Amino acid sequence: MQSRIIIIVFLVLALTLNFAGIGKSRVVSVIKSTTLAALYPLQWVSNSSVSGISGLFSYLHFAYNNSLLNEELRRENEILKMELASLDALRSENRVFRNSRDRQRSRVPGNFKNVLLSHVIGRSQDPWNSFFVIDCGSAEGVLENSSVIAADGLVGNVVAVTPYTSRVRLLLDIKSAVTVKTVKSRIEALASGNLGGLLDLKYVSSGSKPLIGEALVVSSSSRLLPGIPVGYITRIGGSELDLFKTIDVQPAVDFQTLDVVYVVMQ
Amino acid sequence: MKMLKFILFLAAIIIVENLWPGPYRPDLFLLLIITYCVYHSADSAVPFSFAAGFIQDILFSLNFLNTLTKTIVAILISMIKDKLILDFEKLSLILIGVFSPLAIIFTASLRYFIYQQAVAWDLFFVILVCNTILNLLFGFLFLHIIKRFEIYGKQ
Repeated sequence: MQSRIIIIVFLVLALTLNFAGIGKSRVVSVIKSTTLAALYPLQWVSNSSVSGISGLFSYLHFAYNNSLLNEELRRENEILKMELASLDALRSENRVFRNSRDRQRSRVPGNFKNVLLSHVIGRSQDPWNSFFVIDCGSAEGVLENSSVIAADGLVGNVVAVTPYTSRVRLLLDIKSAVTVKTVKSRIEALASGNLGGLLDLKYVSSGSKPLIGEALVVSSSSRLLPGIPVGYITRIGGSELDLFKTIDVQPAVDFQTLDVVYVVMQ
Repeated sequence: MKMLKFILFLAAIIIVENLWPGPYRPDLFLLLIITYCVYHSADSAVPFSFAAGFIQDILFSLNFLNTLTKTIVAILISMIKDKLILDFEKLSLILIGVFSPLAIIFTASLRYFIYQQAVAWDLFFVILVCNTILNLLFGFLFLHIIKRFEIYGKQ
């Protein structure tokens, strides 16, 4: 009996909710809003988890695409770096050639116009010898004892020739010696290498008055080219009792960075 | 503990109903009502079905058709279940197979005849078939969970 009453009550309730307009009444609206408020946390959790999961997938997709793009950009960057390095090398080489050409026009004396541009392709590896190997030889007309100069001054002379290369003994070599003259005090002396990166100025009498910083050029009495800069006096030593002064000369040419030289054709 | 389990189970149903993506979805509230009605007497089954249908309507519907449908389903199951001598699982599955299409037909008919709403009949048949199949598939899972976690107590 109780079951029947319950069944009838709830069936009537369900029917009236649909057909008697009770579904839109204020009471049902209150029940509806209260139930919704009570169940809101559940809906929020489910919706948040859905949006979180879909957001996670979107993020993963975004991250994957970005990693691909990143890899591509890194590769492109590597290629561009290599190209840049190559361009830098070309620019540097171009600058060297341009400087060489300009200096050749402006500084090579008139009577040395017949010079052969040459590149340094090898350097001495031991401290007891100072020489360069240059990329021109007898095929271009280079002879032994030819003078080799650079834009800044005297480099040395050719000591050995092959058809396509030549060996140049530098001023710094201990076996090198060249007669020089100071520009201002007009003192003639012998400059020779000492393997220490400087030149020794020999046979300057203790009574003469050379100046520190004074330039030295090849003397006209030399077999080499007169007037070519050799270096600058950096130190003057020795006492009055000595027969000769002890003088250090800084070479005019920076042998460390020298790339291009000129062989004076005889 | 039993109450807590039941509340969690209800919460899971609401969350799954919320998360389900497509138009073809299992009616988990119907599964809940059928299994509840098989296990409980009409005194508690009918009010429970009314409440479940009411919550379903509040959350997922604009009218109260689910309340009416679920109440009627609960009444019918309460009336016939004693005449069928089967164990809980088999009886539940048979009732799911029978009442799933009937509930859809009943709801669509009410919508068409009483609320004068247009019903796309070709889509209706697709929904009828798909929902019944989904209800049966989820019915197995449902029954397994009920048995495993003893949602309605020991059977």
